[in-house]
Amino acid sequence: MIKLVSGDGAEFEVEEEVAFQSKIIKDIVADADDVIPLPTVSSKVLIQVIEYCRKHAAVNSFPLSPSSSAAAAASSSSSISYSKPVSDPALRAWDNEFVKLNNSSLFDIVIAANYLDIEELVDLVLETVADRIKGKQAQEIRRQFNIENDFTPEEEEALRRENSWAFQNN
Amino acid sequence: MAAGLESLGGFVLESILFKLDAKHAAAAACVSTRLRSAASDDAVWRHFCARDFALYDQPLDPDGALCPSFKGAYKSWFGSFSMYPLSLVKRAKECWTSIRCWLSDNCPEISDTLRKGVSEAEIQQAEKILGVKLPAPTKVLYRLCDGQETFTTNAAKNKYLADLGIIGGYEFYEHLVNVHLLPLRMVVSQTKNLTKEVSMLTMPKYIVVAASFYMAKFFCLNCSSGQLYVGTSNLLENGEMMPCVPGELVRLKADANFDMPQDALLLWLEEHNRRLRSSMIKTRHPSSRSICLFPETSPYCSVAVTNGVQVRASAVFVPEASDANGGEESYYFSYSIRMSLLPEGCMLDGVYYSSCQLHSRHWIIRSKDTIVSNVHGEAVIGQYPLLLPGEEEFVYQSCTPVPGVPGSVEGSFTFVPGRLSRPEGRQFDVKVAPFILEKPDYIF
Repeated sequence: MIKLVSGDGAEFEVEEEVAFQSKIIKDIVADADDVIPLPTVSSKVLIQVIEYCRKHAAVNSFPLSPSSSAAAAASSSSSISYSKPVSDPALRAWDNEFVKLNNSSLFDIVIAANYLDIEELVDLVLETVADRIKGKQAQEIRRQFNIENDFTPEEEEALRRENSWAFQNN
Repeated sequence: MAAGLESLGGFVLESILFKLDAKHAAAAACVSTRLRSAASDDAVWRHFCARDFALYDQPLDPDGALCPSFKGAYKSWFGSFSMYPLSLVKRAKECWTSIRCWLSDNCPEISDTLRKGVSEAEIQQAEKILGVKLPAPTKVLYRLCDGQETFTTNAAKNKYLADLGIIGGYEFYEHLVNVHLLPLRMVVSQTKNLTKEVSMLTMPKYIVVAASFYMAKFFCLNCSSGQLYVGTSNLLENGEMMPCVPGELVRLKADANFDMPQDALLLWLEEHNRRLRSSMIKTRHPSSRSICLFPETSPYCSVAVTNGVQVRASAVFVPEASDANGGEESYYFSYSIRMSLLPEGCMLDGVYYSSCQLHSRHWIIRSKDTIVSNVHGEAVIGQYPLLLPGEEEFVYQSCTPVPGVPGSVEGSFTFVPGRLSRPEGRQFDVKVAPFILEKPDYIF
């Protein structure tokens, strides 16, 4: 078991395979002890990250049953095996539920996941944020992400002209 | 303070922008100064150029001119090609880029014949003259490259160009074929010529896209179905043609499973590119300028070595001599035989000989397991090749029709050690391993 300590002092005991979804933690454990302080991660965020890691650790370990492990080893022999959750529809559906969060929660998670080097979680969250930008005009994006328009009217006009190519016939 | 989009680190914000379409990134740039600064980083546009237009290394516009930034290059490509699905533009561009690269590495003379792309207006004009609507993939291919410069007003130049078709060809006896991809103006003129001669093709949906300037060999794109056809021996008589690309791959509309249309011209060029890239076909000799369609790799090319004599053999389907109506000459094939004496020389009964010479040949030709030809004869194409250790292959081509496929050819050559004029030992047979005669999925 590995003990993770959040910035606000909460302690979480997790199995190695859950914690090792984070490459950073894997590296730390390799040459240090099993209590890992994560001062920049709040307990609220850490709970969510652990939930994600627990689910993915369970699913990722599943294909390594005796019957399929040989095939998996053969197909991934050349690289460090980093599983592709997208190929598993059930996990994909779980991921889609997981990211049904407000924007600021997503940003907190992506900052933590980036810090902990959990590639798949970073990718999942960024994909979700990108989806919330796609197809929207500037004013809608401001509303979606609560961003203030800090342009002068002249700047806005210049931007409209510069980017007009992108706004035609779509 | 709660994290916001704008307070995310540069790397995270950039990663989000990478996942957007370019037009969404342009919208994001209009949101705030922070987002404008993130979205104007040229690394983002470099990524979009690579992802959407297979444009790497340098920010070149569609005419090949250098732009001051990747954003500038993107705008230029988008403005020029946004009427097509970007995935199709990228795919067609990758196909052309790959073919161009192979050609400039392996036969720069052919690469020099490739023309710049045509404009949208030129395509519309050709469509109007021909009375057809070209499939989108064919239009994009022509927008990127207007076929080959293959025909000029200068006869000497034309003779030089005749061997330089990007599709290539073969030669046996008097039958010489080398196929070029036509520039759009010649698509128009050749289509007019052919429809004049072939009444069956007067329906205005066929256009000639590729042709050989020696023997009559025409590739026609059916603009309604998107399939590519090649004329058989009956083309001029009754318009008979056969499809050149597996029909199930051809689709002119994007659907739920596929995000872009693919017509047979695109599939055909992509397959040709694969064959060049895999060395299945090459230029005939290091010295030759033209692309030779006889396969060079297993399983299409058989190899056998007997007493130090190596024989490589393969066949190519010859549609312009075939007859889809059946009969004894339904399927016409040309085959290429390449024989050489390995550097270690000829070994026979434990004795070394520094040369050997062909005396006779024996062929067994099968059509669907029935022997249709069992021939013994002296020489090959009237010659008695003398093989010396390590010398370049002696290469010759011949041909055979078969009534049905698959068929096969195998046989042997009888050699004498030394020379025919002064044999130094007993005759021996050199095996020609069987090679297949099959109507291919893709016809070139």
